[in-house]
Amino acid sequence: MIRRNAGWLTPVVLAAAPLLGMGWAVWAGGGGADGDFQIATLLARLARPAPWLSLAWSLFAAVSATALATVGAIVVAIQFRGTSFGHRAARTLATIPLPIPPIVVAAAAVLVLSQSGLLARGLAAFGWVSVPADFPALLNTPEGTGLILALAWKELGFLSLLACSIVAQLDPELEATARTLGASAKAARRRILVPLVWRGLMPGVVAAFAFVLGSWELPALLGPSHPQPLAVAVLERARDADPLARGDAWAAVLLLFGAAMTAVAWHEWARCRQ
Amino acid sequence: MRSSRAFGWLLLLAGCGGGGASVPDAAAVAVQPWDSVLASARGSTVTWRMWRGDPSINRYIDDWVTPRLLECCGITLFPVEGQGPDIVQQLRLEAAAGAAGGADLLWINGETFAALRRDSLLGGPWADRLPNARYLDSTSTIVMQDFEQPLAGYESPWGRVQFALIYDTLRTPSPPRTVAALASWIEAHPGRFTHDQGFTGATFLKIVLYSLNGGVANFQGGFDESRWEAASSRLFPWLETLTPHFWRRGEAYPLGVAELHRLFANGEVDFSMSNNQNEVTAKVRQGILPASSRPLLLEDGTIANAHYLGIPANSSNPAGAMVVANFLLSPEAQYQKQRPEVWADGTVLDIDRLPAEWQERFGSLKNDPAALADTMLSRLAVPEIAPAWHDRLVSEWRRRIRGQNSP
Repeated sequence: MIRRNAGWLTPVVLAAAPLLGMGWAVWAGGGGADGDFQIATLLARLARPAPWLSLAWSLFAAVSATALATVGAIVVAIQFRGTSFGHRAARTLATIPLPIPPIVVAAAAVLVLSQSGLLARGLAAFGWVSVPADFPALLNTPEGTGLILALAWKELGFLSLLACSIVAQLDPELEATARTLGASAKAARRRILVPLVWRGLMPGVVAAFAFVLGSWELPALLGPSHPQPLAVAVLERARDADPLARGDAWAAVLLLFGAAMTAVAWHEWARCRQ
Repeated sequence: MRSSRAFGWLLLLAGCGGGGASVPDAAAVAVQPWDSVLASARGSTVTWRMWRGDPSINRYIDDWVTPRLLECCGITLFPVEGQGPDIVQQLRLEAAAGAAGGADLLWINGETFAALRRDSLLGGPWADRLPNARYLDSTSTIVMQDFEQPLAGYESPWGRVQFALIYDTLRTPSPPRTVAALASWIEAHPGRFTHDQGFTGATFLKIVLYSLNGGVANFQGGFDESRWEAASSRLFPWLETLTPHFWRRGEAYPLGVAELHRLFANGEVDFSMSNNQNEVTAKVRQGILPASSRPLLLEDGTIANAHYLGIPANSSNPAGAMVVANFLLSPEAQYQKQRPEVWADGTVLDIDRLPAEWQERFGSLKNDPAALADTMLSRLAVPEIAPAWHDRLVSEWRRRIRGQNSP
């Protein structure tokens, strides 16, 4: 009897951790950790424009990086789905970023993309820019170009691994049937393969987006000082000498939680529609 | 059966409670004869919560201090990461839980010391009882006062440093030597100057604050709102005028001084800075900074301060911590620490009080071409002020200069 009705237990257990986390963030953001919880305190912290500006910028960076990585992963998985050495090498190269620690990715980005980096020096050596400093600033800028590229590269490993395994499990007859019915190779890829890979990849894309949104190492080293990425703001406020600043950090955590949960809810909604 | 099971649960709960014999606090240990302290410390482990971000410092601790402590005193040193607010939060949590301390020794100063003292999280007094405390430069207010706070035996001085800008003699043969000249230089060289967002950058801002407001004397005696209003009305317009000429037009600032060193070494900016005037000699020897890098003291005066060792009130090994602090205060350990190829951290000892052999060895350290003369250092040294000034300056800088974006 118990075993038959235990189906509800799994979602409850899975939902418990984020719900507890959100509950704690609400309590601490409202001053509970400082001994005086008031919902007005939390609302006052959330009413300020600063955390919303940080959230908006972090969403922009996370969405851009995840979109780039998703497109890259789908292209790699479809274009290099053969068994030749070149195709296998391409798939392996795409997954290289997966085990590399974020701090190493940041160091590599500085080495390559900074105004004194390899790219700037190389272009200066070929006369494309007069001195390395004339190379456009890509790191620590409000546009976040270098940060987005670094985040996308880091995500590419994870999403490529997923995309390649999805493509490997697809029935090759699907594409062949489309070609038999008169579709060009390009159309068959676009109308058959890409939607199938996207459908399988969606949970991974949401996971990668949530991970990037909450990560702080790369934004701290490659992101702008203003707007301050939200995860960096959380870290700064949590480590502030002023103990009251920790409440600010928890209020900001609540926004991060909300954004990540919205992405998960969107995914569930989209999956149900399919 | 049932009673034996209940007894087992009780034993488990007792074990979880972390009971054990009560440990005398640092003040109680400090009144014991030093031989008793040494005997209590022998065979123990001292956990030292400290900043572990500099390989030179880590090498000094791990490769030089640790084996000598084991050899001389039978103490196993166990350094762990932790600094500033992390230490304060950790000790607050431990105090709230009534738990035994996770650390026996702390590397602290300034606002961390103030916060720990305010919450009674430090053990003591004990520092004056260390045998090597007799060598301390006890006439120096920079050593014997931590951001205007009396040490009161709760901290043992460990190192003394003085802020310096770092420039490259090849790139900038005639560097500005006053705050006013620096402002003109920044305007004339857009994009070639910045400061970091950390403690070193805040120290630079304090130097400018002193300079624009008639010197440090106007800030001594504790924080005052009206004096802050007057002083900040000069500092922030100065910054607002200049930041458009900073690196990245002041839209981004290096996270810490390590990032600033990298920008300087790569030629992206023409100045770096350090809270330790000797750091440039160490970093040049390590190949991190160009060989032509030199420290520069602004004629307006540059902030000198000291860093210290404290013992948490809940330390489980205050005797071991005191022996370690005493060893670190010895002429041998202080000399090794000051060597440019090791750490280049200034000594807190009065050289004239040392045996002749050690006076000679400390004297030999001045031969490095990049080392600044003691007379110049002492002439231009200005002390730190109460931590509340620092906290207010940092929060206002974040709000008004970096952008109104600190959630």
